[in-house]
Amino acid sequence: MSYQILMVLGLFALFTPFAYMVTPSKYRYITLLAASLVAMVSMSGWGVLFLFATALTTYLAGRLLDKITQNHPTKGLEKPERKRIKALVKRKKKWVVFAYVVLNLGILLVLKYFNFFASSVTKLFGGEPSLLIKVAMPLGLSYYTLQALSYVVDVFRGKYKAERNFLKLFLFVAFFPQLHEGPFGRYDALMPQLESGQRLRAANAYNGVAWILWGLFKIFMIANRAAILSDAVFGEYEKYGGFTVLFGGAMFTLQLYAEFSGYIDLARGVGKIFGIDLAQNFDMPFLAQNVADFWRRWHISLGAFFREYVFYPISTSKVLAKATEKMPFEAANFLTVTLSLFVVWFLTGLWHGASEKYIYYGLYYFVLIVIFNLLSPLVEKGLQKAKIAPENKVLAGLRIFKTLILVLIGMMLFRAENVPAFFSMMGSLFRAGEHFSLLKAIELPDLIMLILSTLVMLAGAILKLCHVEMEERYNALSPYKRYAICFTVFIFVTIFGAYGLDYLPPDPIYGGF
Amino acid sequence: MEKIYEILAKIIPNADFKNATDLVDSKILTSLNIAKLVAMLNKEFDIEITPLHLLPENFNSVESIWALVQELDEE
Repeated sequence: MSYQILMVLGLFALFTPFAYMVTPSKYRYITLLAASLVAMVSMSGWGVLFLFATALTTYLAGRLLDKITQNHPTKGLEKPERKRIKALVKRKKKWVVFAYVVLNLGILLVLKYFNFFASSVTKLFGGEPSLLIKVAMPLGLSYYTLQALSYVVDVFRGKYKAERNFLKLFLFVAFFPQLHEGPFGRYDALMPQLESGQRLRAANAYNGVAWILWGLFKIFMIANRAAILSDAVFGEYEKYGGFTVLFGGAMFTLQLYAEFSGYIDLARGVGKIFGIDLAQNFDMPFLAQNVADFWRRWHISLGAFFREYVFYPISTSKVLAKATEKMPFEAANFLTVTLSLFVVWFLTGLWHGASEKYIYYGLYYFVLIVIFNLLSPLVEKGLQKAKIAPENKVLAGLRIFKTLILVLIGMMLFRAENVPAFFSMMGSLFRAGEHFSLLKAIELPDLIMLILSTLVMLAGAILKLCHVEMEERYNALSPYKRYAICFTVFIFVTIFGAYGLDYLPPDPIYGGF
Repeated sequence: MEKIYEILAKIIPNADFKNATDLVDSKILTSLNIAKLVAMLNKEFDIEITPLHLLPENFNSVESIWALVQELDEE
């Protein structure tokens, strides 16, 4: 990976506002669309055609779903007739959604997973894969496909009416800042902002630039330096002892958080320049009390997608209700929830990439959550007997610590070369090995900068925890002070940031999904 | 409404659901048991509760669940 995405995003943030300003407010969404497409073509070339195909089919599916409802009015009819027509409408609409899903998930499957499945199958039969396809994946394929899918399902469910203007819908699917690493946007939250064409305001620009700089700070001051240590450990994990292997896992966790949340801050910052609020994707994940809570705080928009469009439809489905009808209540409930969770976590793993280790990564969380669901009633009873209040602070601290360890193990699986390498790393926890030689991998100034920058990020989190609203305080400063802050941070990151010839270029991990 | 009492008695037998107004907010009803509740309501009242209706305000009290059932029955 190179600096290309940052440059394209930077040019988008720099030049689009000028074009946006000179466009009449009614047509400003077209300017945003044009800028998004230029940025997309510069990143993905002909891959933009896949984006267009998804946008077009999303538009047509939405309109068709609305048309089916309109053609079957139920107003004024008797209840039995109303029910009959509603069932008919639902059947027809299901076919539209089915065709849409097959087509669009088909594109996703072929582009992202075909080579993985072809290799797995041929390996199974002892051959060499010969049927691999070579097509440039469009940027953000895994993000925009799910975002578009959520729109079609919402129209199917009757949450809102379909968009009538194709260009507006195209912008919803293709809005550039969020294509790279998300966050997933919901149509009802995003579209009113995209089409509003509100004028550019200095206050929004200051706010947006501050978010962009904070994102760059996290990427270049923290993520790229933590990567030096995590790469060193994961590259030669055989030689290190258990503590250092765990430390490498912790450095990767720091790298991933700083980088992923940094890119989200960049995207949100660019959005804010245009007065557009993109969805939040993180809420202090390392303070989670259990792993399910962790996933409500980490990559929030992905978890919300799977909850709303996979977990609930499966767990409340009539088929499952019927299949478990004759079972004892507790067993039926457990089976329903566990089966739904299995699908959710299998897909979550697969979403992260076409590789066995990601599937295991998803299933790791599935197993942890099922165990948690089974044990938590017993733990609660135990606590009641021991007369320990559930909100006890020591208990909360222990829970957070336990969750951190479990997340750390998950991160090591996520980062390890493959599944055997992960198990070997886990085994090394019980072996002796080198420790301090890791320090040779990093220069002293880099180490100092990493520690100081991480402390700054930590201070930001502590202030948030203490309800000190830094964003509001910053926005209340005079324009000169805001300018001075932005300028200082920019110069600081430019001088001290880990980029250039001495460093590997940033490798946006979530950008690869 | 009696039917809803019966269903809730099966799903959350230890909770004082008759007087509660925060069944979801206080995590008595969670994603772990709400699926079964939805399935039972769907079957009992011949309605269709979709994920769109899975909002805390629809499930926080027996009254709000009853209101949802009636609303969906009228549709």
